[in-house]
Amino acid sequence: MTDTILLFNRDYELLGEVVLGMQGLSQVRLSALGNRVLHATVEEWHREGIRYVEERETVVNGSFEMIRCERRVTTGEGAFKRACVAWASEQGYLTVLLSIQDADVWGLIAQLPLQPVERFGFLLAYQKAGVPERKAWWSFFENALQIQEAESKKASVAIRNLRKQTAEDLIRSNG
Amino acid sequence: MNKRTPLTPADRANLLSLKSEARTTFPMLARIPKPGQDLETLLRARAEQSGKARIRPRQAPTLGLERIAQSIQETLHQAREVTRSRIRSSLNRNAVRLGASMSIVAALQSVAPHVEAEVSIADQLNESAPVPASVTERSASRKRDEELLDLPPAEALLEELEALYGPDRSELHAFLERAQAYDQQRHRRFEARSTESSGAERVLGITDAHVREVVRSGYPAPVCSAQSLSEIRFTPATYRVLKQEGEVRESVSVRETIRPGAFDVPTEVEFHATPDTISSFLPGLHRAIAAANDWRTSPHLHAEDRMKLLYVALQRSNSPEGISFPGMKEESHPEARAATYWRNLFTVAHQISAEDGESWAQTFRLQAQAFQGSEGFVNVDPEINLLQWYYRKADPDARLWPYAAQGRETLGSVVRDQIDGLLDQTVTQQMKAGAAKTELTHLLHRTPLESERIQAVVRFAGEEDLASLPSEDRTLVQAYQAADHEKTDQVMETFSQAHTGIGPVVHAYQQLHNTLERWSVSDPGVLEVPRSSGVVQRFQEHLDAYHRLMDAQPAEQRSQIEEMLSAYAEQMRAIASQLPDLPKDVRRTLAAVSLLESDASL
Repeated sequence: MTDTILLFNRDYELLGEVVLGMQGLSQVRLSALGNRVLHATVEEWHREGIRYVEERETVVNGSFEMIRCERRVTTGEGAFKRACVAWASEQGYLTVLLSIQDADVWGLIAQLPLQPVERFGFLLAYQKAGVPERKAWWSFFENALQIQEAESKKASVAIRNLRKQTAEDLIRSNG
Repeated sequence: MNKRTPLTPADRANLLSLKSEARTTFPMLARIPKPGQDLETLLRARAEQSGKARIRPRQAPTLGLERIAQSIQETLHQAREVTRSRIRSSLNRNAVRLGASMSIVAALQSVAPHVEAEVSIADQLNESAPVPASVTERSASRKRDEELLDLPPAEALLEELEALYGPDRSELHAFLERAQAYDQQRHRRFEARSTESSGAERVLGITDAHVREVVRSGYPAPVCSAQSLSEIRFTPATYRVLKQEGEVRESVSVRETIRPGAFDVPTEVEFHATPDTISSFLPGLHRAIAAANDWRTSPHLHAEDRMKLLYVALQRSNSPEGISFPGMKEESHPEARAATYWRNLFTVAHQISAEDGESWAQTFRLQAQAFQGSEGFVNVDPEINLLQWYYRKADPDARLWPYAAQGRETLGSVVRDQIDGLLDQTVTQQMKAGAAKTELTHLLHRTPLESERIQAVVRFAGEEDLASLPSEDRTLVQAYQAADHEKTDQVMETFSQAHTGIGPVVHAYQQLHNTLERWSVSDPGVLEVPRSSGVVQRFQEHLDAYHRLMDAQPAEQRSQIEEMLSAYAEQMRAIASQLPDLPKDVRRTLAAVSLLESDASL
């Protein structure tokens, strides 16, 4: 079961996470960017539901006909997920359906100092991987986090030395 | 206004004294320049006075803070870049373990400039053709999308990938080389055909914008498919819409293919692109395959588009002249290629259905298209289909079956008949397998003694279970005795005569029997098989062994065996119907036989 829809803009920047419950929408968590772009929209969802256009093919007298249905899907409906994905597609946003199992992975990826496009790509690559590969991906992400921590420590030391050096220079120049 | 009083010599001396004292007490005041002396000069003079070799007059507090801020930023940036670089190295080192480097590349490619379903189609169309007003006057968002779809050439994409993940992209290079070769090959074929056809298949006049619009509008998939580099095929519904909306202009040359009985409109409409457009193929293919690789997760694509792309990619990957799908083992033998095709299609169908059951219907339709005799699939071995049929049977998610039925209903009658015929053929084989199992298992224990005959029946039903159930055993014996002994004996006699050389068949069916016993029937029409037991594969192996052995028998004898097996299966069904309270394992086995038979009679 998909629990969360991740919303990205065309630059693969995270706009927000649409968390789904047993029935429809459970929670929307917007990023700072998403808050600027989607705040009003999310309020509208809660107030009036989400617009959903559905096209179906049917056969009438041996030929194909299209039926177009448009309606508002409220946040409490099970169809909210589908409507939300359709809405995002229509708006030009990208969506990633995130299962509850994949949520942890996304948490790991989000911590890494990656470009949005890389973050996005890693998530897709993980999702399409098989079970053995997923283990390898976990190992990879953990390794990446270790790398990041190590580099972060080095950077902290470098910055501390830099500050110290600058302070000494200032004192020296003022003396 | 106060009039300023000039200082007296005593005041002046006092003031200078205070100033001197203040400078001693507050060193900062020393930096106050005297008239005609700037700060730098003052500091230099002070430094020289104090014997320092170097001074840093510009390291005033403000400048220092700016510098440290900049330096900190640089340090952080550098640390970030080092981290990213090390992560990339780690990614490259572990590429295979992570699920093939091409998959990773594909995932990243798919997030490169906006892979969309229509790209694979659009890139093959004539970019230079004029765009009708109805298209150019679309909304601003359309224009934005079109700009985004203005994709870089493959080389640029390659550079981008190399920049991202280092130069060691041998798989990607190899793939691109193959794609290039395929591109050139297609180009030559197109030129040759254009010359031969003397204008019958002319220049395509439809623009990519048309196709994008159609695809985006959500017309029923497959809206169109790209059978080759220079051919686009639209479904009748799409074609009709295109025509109605004036998107297909008079100058467009199309070749309509009508398949009798399938539809009342052309089943396929082929548009032929100019050779110029083929040069734009490579990026399109690149992205199409990338998108198809990501068919399951790509947020760009609707399920229908995903399936369409997958279909295109699979066709290309398996057609005799096609290129390989990245990461896919190349198969040279046609049957092996077909097997690969089926395996992939069904694997994909299985996965996508777990995510989106409705797509199963679409998969079924695509499957039907493959049956229609597409290039490269005309010689699909029925055995391969049989295998795939079992694969479907093994699908533990029974919720998907209504979708399969729905998919079947949406097919044209011709295609449906083809599929049904194939399934009938499959089921017939299965029926034989089931019936033969029954008989051979029994004959294995054939003796003229009634007790041993009973024992044979008991064994068939599950020896271990029934041995401890004397009452049911008795019931079973009674039921058996009520069956047609004369016919059974006749069957057995016939079998005895044909027994020479049948030993291996019996052995094969023992194996088959063991495999079948793992099946359970919880609901008529649904066979549940443990997901990871490998039972289907084993069954197939045993079935193959049986067929090989049976084929080795003389035709007349084989026919006799089949007849008697069929008769015996009939008896077993009668037993099953008379004994509703049989132990579960007995009922299960009998029901399996019965089910196989009833399936076959559909």
